[in-house]
Amino acid sequence: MLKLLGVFTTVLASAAIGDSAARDIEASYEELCYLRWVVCRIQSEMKYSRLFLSGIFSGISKEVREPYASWLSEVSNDIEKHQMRSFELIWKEQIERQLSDTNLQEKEKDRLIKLGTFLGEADLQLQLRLMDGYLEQLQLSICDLREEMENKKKLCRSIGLIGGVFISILLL
Amino acid sequence: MKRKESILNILPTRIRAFMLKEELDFDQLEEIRMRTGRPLLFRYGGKERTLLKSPVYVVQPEDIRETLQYASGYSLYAYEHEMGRGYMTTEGGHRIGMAGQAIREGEDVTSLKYISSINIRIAHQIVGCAEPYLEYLFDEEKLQNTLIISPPGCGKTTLLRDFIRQISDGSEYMKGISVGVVDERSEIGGSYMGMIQNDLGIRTDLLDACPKAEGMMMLIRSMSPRMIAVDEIGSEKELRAIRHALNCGCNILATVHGNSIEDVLKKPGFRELFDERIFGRFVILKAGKHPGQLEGIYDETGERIC
Repeated sequence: MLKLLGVFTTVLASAAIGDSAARDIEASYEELCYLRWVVCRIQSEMKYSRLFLSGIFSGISKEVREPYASWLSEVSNDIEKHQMRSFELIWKEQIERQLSDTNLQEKEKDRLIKLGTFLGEADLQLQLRLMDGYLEQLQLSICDLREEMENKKKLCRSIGLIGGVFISILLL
Repeated sequence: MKRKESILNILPTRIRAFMLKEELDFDQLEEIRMRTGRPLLFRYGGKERTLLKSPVYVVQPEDIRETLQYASGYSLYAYEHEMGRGYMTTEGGHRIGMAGQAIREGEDVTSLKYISSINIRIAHQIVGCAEPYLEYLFDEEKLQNTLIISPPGCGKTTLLRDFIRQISDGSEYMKGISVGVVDERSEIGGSYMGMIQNDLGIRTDLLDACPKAEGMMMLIRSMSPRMIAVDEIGSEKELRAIRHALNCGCNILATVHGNSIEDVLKKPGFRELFDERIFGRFVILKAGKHPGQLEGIYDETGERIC
């Protein structure tokens, strides 16, 4: 009876690990989709309202969830502080500080950091086109992740379950 | 924001350090000129000078770039329209004039690139400068339509600003009234991010960066001003808008470039306004040792009253 309980617990734990990994993949996908929406909002505000960046970030920070709210709010605050630093530096610093605990992969964070190199320049049309380019690349990542997601989820859950059974057999 | 802070915040790191070392009274600072490859110059206490407590500093291209980034809040795209006109207004109401290569679309200049010179004109509102002359704008307690005539750089905008403030807030001569200001070049109010940086009075509505003729119509339709104030009128369209504003029952307070009434009457459209006695008062400033020197105040017939 005890052995049976042990096997059951092992399989359950292992399956839970697999399920957790599957949820992480789902969370990454959802995170990317949300980031895309946030950047779209920024682009839209720049295009139509032509507000200053600090105003755009401050306004959007009230609409988005954490940690994006803190990220945009802190970028806005840093701009207002007149700290004699480039915008690129402010943008990079706050991404590393505020978005470190998100489900964004490193390559997506790097891509977001690069976005900061051309925000705020005089040529609005160029900025909007470059943001379009960024959003396209993000969309490709989202599509790739969506395609892999179902397979990876099944794989993770299966490995979790089978792994649990295997460990149980070994222990028995 | 204090004047000193608002000026220092837009300066690049190196120049900021130099200016702090000079221990200047920022109330006397009028202009800072940065020209790439040339020494940093500024106008202080009415005189041009360079750094005294540091070696002569030659302005670098990065200094211009940094200044524009800080002045625009890292949002140069938001100043696209202003850059096409060669200037931008920053927090504190200071105006940054720019010179570089024009970007054109047909005959129109849409923006500037390769900016090699900037001129930071420090905003100086002189509260009360219009007080000695306010009484002359009234005839039997009625506010007259007034035209301020002045050569460039003689303080007409500063005087206009204080007239607006006094009329808006009210004075011993009349209660405060609603004033609509069309500030096409953001010089009167010095608006930054929609906030008026100068004191224009408690009953003043400001339309910033709007062409004067359209702006006057918009204000009349939307804000019901008792008086409309505009700076540097000249075109036929603007004069027509003034007539329309008068027909709608608004008083007009305007400025125009010139040395005298006769000088102004040579401009198209002004002779008719004068003959019709549209303007009840002409306030004429003259070039002198310092801005704001009054040459005289004249009534609608051109007769001197002050």
